[in-house]
Amino acid sequence: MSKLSRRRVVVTGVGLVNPFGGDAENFFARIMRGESAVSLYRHPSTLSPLEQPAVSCLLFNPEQEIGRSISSMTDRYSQLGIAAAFSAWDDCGLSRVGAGSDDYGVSWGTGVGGALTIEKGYSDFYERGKLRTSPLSVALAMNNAAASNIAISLGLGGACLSYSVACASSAVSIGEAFRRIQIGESSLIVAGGSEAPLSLSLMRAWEAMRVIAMGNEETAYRACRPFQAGRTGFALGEGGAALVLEELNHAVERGARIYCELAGYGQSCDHTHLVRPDAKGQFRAINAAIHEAGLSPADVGYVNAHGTATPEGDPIEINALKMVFGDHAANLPVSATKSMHGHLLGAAGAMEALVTVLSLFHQKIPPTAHLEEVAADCQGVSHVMGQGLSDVSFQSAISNSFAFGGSNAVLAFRLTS
Amino acid sequence: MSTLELIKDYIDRHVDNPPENLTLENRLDGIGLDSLAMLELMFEIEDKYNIRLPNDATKPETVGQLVELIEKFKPSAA
Repeated sequence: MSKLSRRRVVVTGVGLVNPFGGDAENFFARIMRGESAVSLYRHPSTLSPLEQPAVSCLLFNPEQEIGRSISSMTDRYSQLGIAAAFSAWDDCGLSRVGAGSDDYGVSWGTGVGGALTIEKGYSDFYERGKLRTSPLSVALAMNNAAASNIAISLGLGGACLSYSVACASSAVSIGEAFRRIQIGESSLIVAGGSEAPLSLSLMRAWEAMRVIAMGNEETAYRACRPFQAGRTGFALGEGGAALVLEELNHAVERGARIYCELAGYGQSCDHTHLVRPDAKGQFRAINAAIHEAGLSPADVGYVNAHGTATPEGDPIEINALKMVFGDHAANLPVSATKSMHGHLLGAAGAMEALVTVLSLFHQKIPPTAHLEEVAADCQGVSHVMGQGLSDVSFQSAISNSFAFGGSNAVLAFRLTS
Repeated sequence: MSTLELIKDYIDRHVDNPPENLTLENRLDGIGLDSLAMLELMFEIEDKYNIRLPNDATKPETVGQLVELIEKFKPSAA
């Protein structure tokens, strides 16, 4: 199928589980104010006291959000994902009962999936001396459990796929859903990702890589400072986010509210290093996304950056943006919202895609929170700081996701004409 | 706690709308216990009584049949 004959794809629903506890609009309003959900997280394990700036969804009540039957049979990463999907589904105007179809599918992303279940299993064996583990362990821990539970709950009989591409997992799940709708494999797909990474062993593992932001009780809320001079890294976050992607005519025919069009998806692999990103690889992914969307660099009005606030990663992303946007880079609004909602690993792409969609829809650009002095190696773009930008007019925006392993995924959104 | 009470406790923790009056005649699938939930329930009961229910036992379809199966294998003093 030629690119010209591909079907158009629009976003008709957004939903999430976030640390503030409210809906997507409430979440967006908060991050427009630069409100941080990062705090000093004390892991409940007694094995090894651990304190780390992190983001947890303490207000999330799985039984209330997805019911007792499902919540008692799922890992936390699935619970966060199912609740996010339900929220997006409600938002797109379809009933949870009887509106499913074999033409509709699920496309999900997660980095560590059922890590909490796996850690509990090992704790039972090696810490508590148990000799066997729950028969639910496999069904809880598997990386496609979230996607399958979403499909079962909503009656979605099309392809039900899960992607694990580290921190680009759910940008890929959204991009691959876009492709399936483009070529006529599905008319509607619930696409997104979820992550529950606050396990003792995972938090220790990230800490050992020296990429976790430093902070104490008083400073944790502003520990993650992308592009800032002296930045120290990111804060792990849990949560889930979903978009309902729909073929344009399908959405119009049922009178759905359309947020914007997902118009381009670019992918690349750095093929240089397992954990050190490469601007040339990122350049290719960004370029591919905006080219497919039919955008020139000057058309892009906002970049939701991957922006993890690591000393190594941020300047490489800025270099990639300067390579793509050339003379326009200096006026290109860029922000990294991980400074507020944390780094959701495999769910980061979906969370940031949702932010990008709402940014475009509301014509408002959220800031990089806690950014006061742009580091010398991160200059050259128009960093959005403070209270964000509320008096802007722009037609398109992109969301960058760059993963360990060198896999890059970029989503380009534009207002529908 | 009797075997029936153990089953009721599990159902109350795992099912959205548990029956107010659980009877021996209630069908397990009607209550909302699917095959996965049944595995977990039997696992919990095995742990509780320190017993092992046989893999080749006839699959219980009602609460009464499940109680009967457990009673057959649980220690007499329990």
